[in-house]
Amino acid sequence: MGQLTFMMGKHEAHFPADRQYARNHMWALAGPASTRFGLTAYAVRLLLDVYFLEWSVAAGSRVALRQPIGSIESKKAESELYAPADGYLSRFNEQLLDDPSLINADGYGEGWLLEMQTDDSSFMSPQQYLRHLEAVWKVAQQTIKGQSHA
Amino acid sequence: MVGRLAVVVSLGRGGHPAKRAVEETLVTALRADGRFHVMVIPHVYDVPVGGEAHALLQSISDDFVLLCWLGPRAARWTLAQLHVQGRSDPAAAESSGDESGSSTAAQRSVVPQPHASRTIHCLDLRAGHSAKHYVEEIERIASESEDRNRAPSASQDQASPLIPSATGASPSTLPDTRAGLDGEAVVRRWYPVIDYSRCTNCMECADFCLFGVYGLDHQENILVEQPDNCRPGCPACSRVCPENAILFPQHKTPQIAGDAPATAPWKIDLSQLFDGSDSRPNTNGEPEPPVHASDLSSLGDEPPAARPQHRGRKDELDRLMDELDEADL
Repeated sequence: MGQLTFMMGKHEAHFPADRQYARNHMWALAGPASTRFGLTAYAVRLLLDVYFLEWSVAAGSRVALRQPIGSIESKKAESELYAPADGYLSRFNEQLLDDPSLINADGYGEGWLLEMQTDDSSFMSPQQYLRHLEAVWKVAQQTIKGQSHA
Repeated sequence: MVGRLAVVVSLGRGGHPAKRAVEETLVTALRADGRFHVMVIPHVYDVPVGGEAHALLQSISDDFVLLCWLGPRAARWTLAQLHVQGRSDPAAAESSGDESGSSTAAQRSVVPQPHASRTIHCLDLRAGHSAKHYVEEIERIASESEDRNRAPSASQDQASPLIPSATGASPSTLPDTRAGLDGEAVVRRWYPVIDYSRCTNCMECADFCLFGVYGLDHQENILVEQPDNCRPGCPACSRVCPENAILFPQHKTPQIAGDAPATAPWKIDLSQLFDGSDSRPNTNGEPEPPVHASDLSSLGDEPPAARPQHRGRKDELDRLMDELDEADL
């Protein structure tokens, strides 16, 4: 399985080429009945050690793109989690509720987040996602400078 | 005979006319009252260790009142860093969200603790009360201190909780009532102040700081060893601190300045990065940007040539160093 790499400073963030990517830094892996989503290495690197995850919507409900569906917390950071697409949210990864550190340990495998049935075709290829990251990364660095004046 | 309560007036920075007017009104009113020993010093945060104003503060052995343009929490720990120890006023602590009380702080404090059982009453001049209000509050404090002094069971460091005119020294033997103001211009300082009631000695700040500001005492407790090595304007170690125990009293963000109630540890909010909306950088003072400098610092870049020897995360922190260098702080 090939992968692409994006340099976050000195940190190498890897992105498997076997799947697509959403703008909210989730990967999307299409299966026979549904599409599985998880956090990309970029998002995981920003979060660092995840220790808490909760969902604010129930499995088996319809969600809209960018609708808040839960929250995640690490030692240093916290974030809302948003739906990566319009569709039917069929399942959450129950294993993560017991041990969210799987997100850090195996973010592209056992640390997956949720499954959806979606017709969304706006996901990015790995190459497109890398270009997206280049733009986002610049923004992040500009934000650092803005904040260091704060 | 009961001594006079010491009242220290810490002047605002820069001599703003409105602040000067408040200070002058207060000093005049307190001196006219006659029951207080009024002392005027530069802004307490700018007081250099070993200087005249520092000596004046250290000469006070009993309860005193500090009137300053800082919140009680920042004022109290700034004084502690000057080795001017004492319990905080319970009423002031309650109203300011300072839950530290005194015993915890005394146990955790890493500096010598003469007079640790006396009470220091820090009153915030920014609250904008009238001079009359402040004078009445100080009269109340003086009255309470006198009561404690008369009570046989009162615990006392010294013979008197007030300036000890009855025990040999007299107010006239105290240093001049103005200190550190008449010589060279007061230099504005910038350095972290540790709230030891919250500090867990985790060393994140020492690991993080690249300027050698932090050090350890003989018991390996963190302390601000080289305050003037701090980079003016940089509050990054405060953001790194998991317990919000590091204050920069002159920072405009209440939480960093020690004005906001010290509650949950600081968390970086990544929501704007994770909502897929491609948020733009925010440098115009509008809502809080999505990532804090301390966060992105952990993403790494080339290390500079020379850096202090701290454990862990060295390479990860150098990006912030570079960014701060470029930021023209």
